[in-house]
Amino acid sequence: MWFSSGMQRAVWAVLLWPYLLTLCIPLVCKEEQGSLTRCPSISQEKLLDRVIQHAELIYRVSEESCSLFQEMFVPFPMRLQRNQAGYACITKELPIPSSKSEIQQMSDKWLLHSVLMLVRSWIEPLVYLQTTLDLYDDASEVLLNKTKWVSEKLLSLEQGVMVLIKKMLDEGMLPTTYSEQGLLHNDGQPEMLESVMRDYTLLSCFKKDAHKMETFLKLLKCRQTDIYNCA
Amino acid sequence: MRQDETLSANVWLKCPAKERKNHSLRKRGHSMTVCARMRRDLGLALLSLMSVAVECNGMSPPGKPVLLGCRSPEKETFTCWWEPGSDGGLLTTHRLYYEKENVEGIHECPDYRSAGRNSCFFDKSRTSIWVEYNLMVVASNALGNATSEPLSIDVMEIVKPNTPENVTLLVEERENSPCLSVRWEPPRNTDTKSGWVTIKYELRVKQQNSDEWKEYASGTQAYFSLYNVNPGVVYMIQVRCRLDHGSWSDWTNSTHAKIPNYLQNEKLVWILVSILSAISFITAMCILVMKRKHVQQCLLPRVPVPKIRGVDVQLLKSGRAEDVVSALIFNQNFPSMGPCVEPIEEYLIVSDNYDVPPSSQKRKKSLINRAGIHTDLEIQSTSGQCNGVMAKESNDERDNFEKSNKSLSEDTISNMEPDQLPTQKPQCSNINLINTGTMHPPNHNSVAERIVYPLANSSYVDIQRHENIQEVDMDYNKVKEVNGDNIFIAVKENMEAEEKNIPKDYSRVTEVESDNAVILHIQNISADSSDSCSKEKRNHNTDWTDQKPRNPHVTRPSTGGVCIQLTGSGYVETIPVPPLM
Repeated sequence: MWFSSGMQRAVWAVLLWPYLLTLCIPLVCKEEQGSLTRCPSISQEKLLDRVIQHAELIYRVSEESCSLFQEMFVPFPMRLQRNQAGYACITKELPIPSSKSEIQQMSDKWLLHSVLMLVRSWIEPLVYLQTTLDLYDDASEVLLNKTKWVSEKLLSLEQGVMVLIKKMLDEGMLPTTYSEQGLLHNDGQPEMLESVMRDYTLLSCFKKDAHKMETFLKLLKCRQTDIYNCA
Repeated sequence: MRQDETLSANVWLKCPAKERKNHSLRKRGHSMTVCARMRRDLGLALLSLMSVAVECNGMSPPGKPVLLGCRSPEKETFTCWWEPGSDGGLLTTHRLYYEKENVEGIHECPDYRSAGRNSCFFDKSRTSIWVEYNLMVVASNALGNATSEPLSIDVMEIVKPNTPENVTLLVEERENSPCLSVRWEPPRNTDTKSGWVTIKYELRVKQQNSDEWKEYASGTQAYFSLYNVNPGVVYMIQVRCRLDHGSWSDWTNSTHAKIPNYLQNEKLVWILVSILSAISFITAMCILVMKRKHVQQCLLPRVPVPKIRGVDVQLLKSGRAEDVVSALIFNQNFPSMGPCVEPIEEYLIVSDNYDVPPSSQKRKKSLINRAGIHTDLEIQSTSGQCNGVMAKESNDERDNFEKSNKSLSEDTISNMEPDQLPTQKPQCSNINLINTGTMHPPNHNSVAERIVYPLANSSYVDIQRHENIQEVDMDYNKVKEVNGDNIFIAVKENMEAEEKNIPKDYSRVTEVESDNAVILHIQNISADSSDSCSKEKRNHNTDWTDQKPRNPHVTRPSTGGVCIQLTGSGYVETIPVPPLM
């Protein structure tokens, strides 16, 4: 009720505006808009390296969070049957290929846009994940901090990718659109096991997508053979 | 058993219903239960027969296989393995079926052979990443199937690469320290160039003798340099790798390398250097030793010792004072007394003739006897010494003479004014003119008693001695040699005897040498001429000491005239003595 989409956007905009400001400065130098803050313009190679580092970090932290959650909440017999709970990854709707041959046939533009789509589609679920994890009685501080950190870093990653798109593809700044993934809202009081399995699925799906993002970006990097030496 | 069965079966089959009519209803019930029981038993028997028959053959459905696991070496393909259960004595086949996350339907494994037995190989076309696979293996034979437990995998999680290849070791020497350079290649089939996978390496090193491995991370580089290697040791090295965040591969087989010993080369160099330096040092020392005197001269020159010419140090050391003094004096050359240079002087001629008027005699008088006439001493000694002399004058002539004598004596060497002579009272003549009595010309006392009046502050030699002198005018005095303080006096006087009344023996001081020595001059008085006198005088010199004998005699001047000459050498010019009176 209260979480209508419009209100949600407003809420997120209000909550996330400091991040936008802080993250804008090092990554996006607004020379055209005549901003007060001046930063030295970053080269494309360094920007790409920085974006890749972000993606690597995000993947590592998400992997740790997933394993933590699995140890704490998921019963042992259920651990290998992740999909049997019936929850599919939220991003499976996205038109992203999953085989190497297909991926290597993607253009740079398509790679970057895919990454951007992925990032944007995960911003909201991560916020939701934070709230649900708080509901757990035994959730450790470490887990909570990690999820919080990941959600923050994801925003900066989005900014970086947007700047990269602008630099590499000479496209304008795309408006930030939040995905319409309404699947994650709470409906009532789910059972403990179900919520656990759902959250577990969420975490593992996010881990995969983080790895996907990292791989795409690295492919993009090594395609610039004149600069990089991906031996 | 069979008889019973047949029996029971016959009974069961023959179970009539008529006969049992007559019987009561009781019998039917009883007969019915009996039949059922018999049927049941028969079934059981048949079943047991059949089971026994089956067991004797050994066939059964297959046992349940177990999926062991899957592995992707390069994130492009993967392989799964299972372990079959019992086959049940029959030919059992295993099939693997899988479900993909996004794909409907159940698919079967495409390749059972490439990866070996009991395996399923998924090639690139059938491998999707970030997609869940649900696998199961079904074992089936004639008697049945058996399905394994399902296994869900994601390719990105099963990545385990092959081992790196071609590990090569190279021993390098950099800056006198050995270095082990390790190189290898990534495993085959891994696509690192496109960035599809990021490969990272690790290597570990161990000395041949020890058991501890030391691990190093190499990052994405396919080479590594080890610097802490010891010469003469054999090292074993292994390498492994991993892709992205997957599992580490197995370690490669050990590769050996031995570090050679470099110290030998260095030792040779040092040995040569030490030998050369030793040789040079020895030659330098030999040269120094051979030329040590020269070196000593250069470095430590001799300091000159003080030395007096003519003095023998050894003599001094002997300690005899006499010898030393003699040596000193011997070496000392007194300046030679050269021939007396006769100055041109006026002299007074004193004659014998007393009748001569005084005035004329005055001028003629000359003092012959210059005895006791000393140069400077007389001047000094004019005071208070006259008494003895004065008293003895008796004769006028004598007086005159004496006066003149005295006056002359006073003036001694210098020129006298004749005018003053007579007027002068008996003055202090030299005390050295001792006895007036002896002055009597006619009386030449043999006794030459000389009284020496001591002089005050004079170094004049006063000798008191007695002497017997003959009255012969011709006598001349010979001065004795006085050996006082090692000073000898030799007086030789040759006086011509021709002259009359010429007191030949007088002496005249020629020079005062020092405090102790006075040189007397002995004149040769000759009546001939002054020239002869002068000539002769040169021949005689006397050295007088303190103890010089004094010739008291005042010789008269001869008629011939006496030349009184004065020696020039060392002659002290007298100052005209002021008259005492």
